[in-house]
Amino acid sequence: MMTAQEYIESLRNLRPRKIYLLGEKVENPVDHPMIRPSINCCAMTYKLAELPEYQDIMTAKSALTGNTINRFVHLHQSTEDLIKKVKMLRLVGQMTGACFQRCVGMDALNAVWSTTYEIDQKYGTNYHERFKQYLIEWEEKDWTVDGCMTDPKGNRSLPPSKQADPDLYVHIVEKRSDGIVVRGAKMHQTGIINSHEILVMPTMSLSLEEADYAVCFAVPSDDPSLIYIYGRQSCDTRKLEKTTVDVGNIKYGGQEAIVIFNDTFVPWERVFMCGETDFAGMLVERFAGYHRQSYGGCKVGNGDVLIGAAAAIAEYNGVAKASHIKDKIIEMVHLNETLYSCGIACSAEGRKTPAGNYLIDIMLANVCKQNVTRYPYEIARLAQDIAGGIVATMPSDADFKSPEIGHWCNKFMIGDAKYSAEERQRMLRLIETMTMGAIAVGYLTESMHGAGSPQAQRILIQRYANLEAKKALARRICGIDEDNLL
Amino acid sequence: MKIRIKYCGGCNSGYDRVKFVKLIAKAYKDMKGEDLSLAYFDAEDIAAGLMVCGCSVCCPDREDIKDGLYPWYVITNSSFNYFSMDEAEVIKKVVDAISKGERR
Repeated sequence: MMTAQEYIESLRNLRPRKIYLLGEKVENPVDHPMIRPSINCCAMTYKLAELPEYQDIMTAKSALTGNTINRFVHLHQSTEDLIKKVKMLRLVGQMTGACFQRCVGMDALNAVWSTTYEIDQKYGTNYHERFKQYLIEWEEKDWTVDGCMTDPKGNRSLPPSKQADPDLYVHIVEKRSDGIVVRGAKMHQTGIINSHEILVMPTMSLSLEEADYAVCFAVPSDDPSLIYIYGRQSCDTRKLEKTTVDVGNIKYGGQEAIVIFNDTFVPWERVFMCGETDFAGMLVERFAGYHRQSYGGCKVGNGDVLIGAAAAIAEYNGVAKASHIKDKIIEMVHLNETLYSCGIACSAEGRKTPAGNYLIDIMLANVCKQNVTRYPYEIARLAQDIAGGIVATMPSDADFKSPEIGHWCNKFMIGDAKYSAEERQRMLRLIETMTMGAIAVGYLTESMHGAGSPQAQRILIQRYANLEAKKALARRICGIDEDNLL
Repeated sequence: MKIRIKYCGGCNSGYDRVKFVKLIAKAYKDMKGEDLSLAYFDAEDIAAGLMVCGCSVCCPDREDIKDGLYPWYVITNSSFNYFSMDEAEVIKKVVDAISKGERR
């Protein structure tokens, strides 16, 4: 396994990449002040695996080699593994207070593992063996891999093959004896700049005429054909300021970027689906299912941090004993633990796939994520309620440190005198970033749209609801159908 | 032909498992021309075991249950050994599989 330091150094060793941020090419992403917090955040997945006190959750025994590996590269072998995954994500979410990005690769590897197996069973292809060899290397090198799914989609009412610009979905433009050439882009790629590899999957179920879009493959993140455009976050340029206080979360953060596949060559040994349109939906559903489970862990860990910040600021403000404040914090905890319950439930109800790894319960994973699209917003609202208006109107840290006016800031920013004005200032900035600043991208908007927007879960919930079975229950109870039991 | 039936607990079954097993027995008779005898406990002359699960979780699929002298198949009305398929295909797969069932 890599250490956190080795992981950070490994990013320096990647070939020069075309990364653009604020209109400029970034030559050194590792030390860029707007990017580094997201690298620190991902590095936490390595750091915790180094520490004996976290290894029971952070590591696992490889199903492929028997070696001890980071759980982020593990094929789930049981429902216990699925549960430990959720607990691991909550832990890392607690330790970073932000999106640590590495779960997409873990979710992709488990989805691709079982789907390639079933494609091979039907078509006699050898995608699964290819993927197994790739995964062995992935485990051994302890890569961070970007699970890469969401296409730009263009006109949402049209399928990929009917778009005015065919590149709005990643597609095969050439098949050669040694591999394929792909073109297109993927949006919102969490942690892609911090990844060693990119594992690309289709974004939706596909019909027969869309065979060129039914493609799953892996490429190194430093492939020269790739172009990255870094996504802006609210308040992101605060990271360029001299002080870190106004950033709120001073070391950690999330990251999203667009990646463009500008005629990218993929050798056959890295191609895991090529035209099998009937399996695109299975791959999407499984990846999305795993990722919807993930949110029942990571966002709960972030929620723990925000609840802690709300409880702390209540003390700093001198209102911690007010009954309505206590009740609001109880409500925040209740909402947060409900999300965790969903994450654990869909894991406990997981099942084995024909390929041998374990899949979460799809219905419960979608219920989990549906709740995640709502509850963090309510938790954030309550945090702002408890924090008070000052969370949005506080002077900058430069004012606090100003020789001319700093003493005024400190004098009037004091709450309960047991706590310094700076403690209050820092806690408010943390609440600010998590509820409307850079971290809110991960804690709120990602909760809404990551792993699929709310309607995507409702479609799956409807599909798995089995209303006919429920109607049969009702018919028996009310006497329309015979009750043969008693 | 005698087979062992192991039902899941039925906590949230999406279909009528008993009715489904009857369909399998009928299909067996239609296709093989002989009755399918169902046993709910271990016995000497069992050729195969069917774990009949109400949902995709397939919770009875545990090694302590499968530790018999005959092959086990895990089914729902929409899956056979965890491969998704429609009900008719599940029934056909089951009949084919138990026909080949041999005590170890």
